[in-house]
Amino acid sequence: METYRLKLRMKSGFISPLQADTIFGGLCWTIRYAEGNDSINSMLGDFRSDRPWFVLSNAFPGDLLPKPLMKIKRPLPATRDEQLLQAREGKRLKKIEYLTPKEFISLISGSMPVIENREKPISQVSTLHNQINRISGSTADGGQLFEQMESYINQKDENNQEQDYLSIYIKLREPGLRDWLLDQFRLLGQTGIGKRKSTGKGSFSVIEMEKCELFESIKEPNAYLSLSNFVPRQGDPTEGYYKTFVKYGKLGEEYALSSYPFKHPLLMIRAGSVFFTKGGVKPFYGQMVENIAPTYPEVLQYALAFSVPVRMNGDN
Amino acid sequence: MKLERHAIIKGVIFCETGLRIGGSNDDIEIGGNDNPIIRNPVTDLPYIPGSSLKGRMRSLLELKHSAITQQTGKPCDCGQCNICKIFGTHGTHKARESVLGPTRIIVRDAFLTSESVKELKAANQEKGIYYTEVKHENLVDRKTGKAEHPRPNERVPAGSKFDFEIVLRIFENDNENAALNLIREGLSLVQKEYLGGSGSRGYGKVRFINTTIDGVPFVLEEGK
Ligand SMILES: [Zn+2]
Repeated sequence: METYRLKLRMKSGFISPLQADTIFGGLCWTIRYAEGNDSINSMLGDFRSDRPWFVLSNAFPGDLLPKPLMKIKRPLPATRDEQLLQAREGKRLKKIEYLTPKEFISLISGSMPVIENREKPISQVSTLHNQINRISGSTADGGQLFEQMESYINQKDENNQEQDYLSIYIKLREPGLRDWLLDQFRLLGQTGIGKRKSTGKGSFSVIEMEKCELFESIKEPNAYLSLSNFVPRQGDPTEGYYKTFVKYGKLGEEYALSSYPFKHPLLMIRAGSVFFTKGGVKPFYGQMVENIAPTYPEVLQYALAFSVPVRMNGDN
Repeated sequence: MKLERHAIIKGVIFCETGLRIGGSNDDIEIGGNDNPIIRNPVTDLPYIPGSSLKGRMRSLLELKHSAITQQTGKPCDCGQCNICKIFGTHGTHKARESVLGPTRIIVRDAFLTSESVKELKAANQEKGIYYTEVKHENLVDRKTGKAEHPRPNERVPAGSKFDFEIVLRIFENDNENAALNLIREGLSLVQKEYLGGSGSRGYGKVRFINTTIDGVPFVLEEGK
């Protein structure tokens, strides 16, 4: 599978974090609306039978990548001062969520780069929205007030140039799918992804989709890192460093209007998690999760791992 | 359902009077005197949220056409009319059982035109105001006739322009003309009324200019 990088420019803030499964869900609706049921069913059929047309990463701000969950071997502190220094450094690194490509590649190649502090690449702002009473024109009697957290990209590169885009990494089963997928993303951008699409949240334009060779330099990998949240399948590697979270998913578009628009809670592994492999690294791990929505048994949850080869020093 | 196309309506929102879209609600005093308007957190520039324009269009259309709204003052949830269909169903039981399909309209956030950014920047340097003006509102004591409690209100000055975009998703079997007429009517109603807060005191009189649909002129009202 060849890897591409898709750059998106958001047209305003977004509310739902742009994770691989959310992006996949949006794409499925786009494909269904644009090409009909047969087209989406044939695509999902291939995803079900382990021949995905594409594998998606989460979306990351600018050129940044998630901080790998890795244990770094360091010399044992000899003095109390060294001990303090290491503790302080550990605390500082813990706060950093994303790395530059250089830091990321150096780390997954087995070296320990100096990781700079940087501002949070995503700004969040809370906005108040109200539903006014149509007759009185105020929020009093019958009106409603609600708060909404919106995210904005606020990322600059080392030359202080603004990186006002998101990057999604994509592996394609065959290069011929590139133009088709690009079209689907363009359509999806018109509608937007996630919550409050109808007020413009999560809408974007496509800047470019270029081949990406960033992850191809790692020699003799013995582990993989996932750039997407995922659910391991039977037989996937189990030894590694990972974090889990519970996803409370919701159905989209017209399914969101049904009497029960929720998916079952799903335990997922976070992007940035690392697992040891025996032998080579496969293009993807994880699985498509079936029976996730009680009201719509045909719904399939995307939970594949976008794998990046990793060279871990030390154990294993 | 099959999507036929996206119809894209674009234009400029011209503020004939000062416009105030609060970062906090007008009816709620947050931090007393502090009455900020909504701004993009990264650029700090004021903008018009898509939700404000969409909500205003919807509520004015409902007041005019929906019997439910005329009685209750609440959003229409009949799940059958064109407003419910195009603007999206309000999450009630009745509406959920409807077969309206997905929301058809997408009203995006409207950002200051580059020309307006330049003008306001110049004003900023001359008068020291940050892309906005502050208008002091007084409460006049009805007995003494004296002004009391001057309250600063931040607004985007008259003459400011914002680029707006509305996307209409047209599915197979949708009545495109009916949908476009509803949007046209919604925009005209906003033009006749106001956008944002303090409309009864003259704020938020806007005009939609240079409106186009898929690049062709989109006329809001006959003879204009
Ligand atoms: Zn209705």
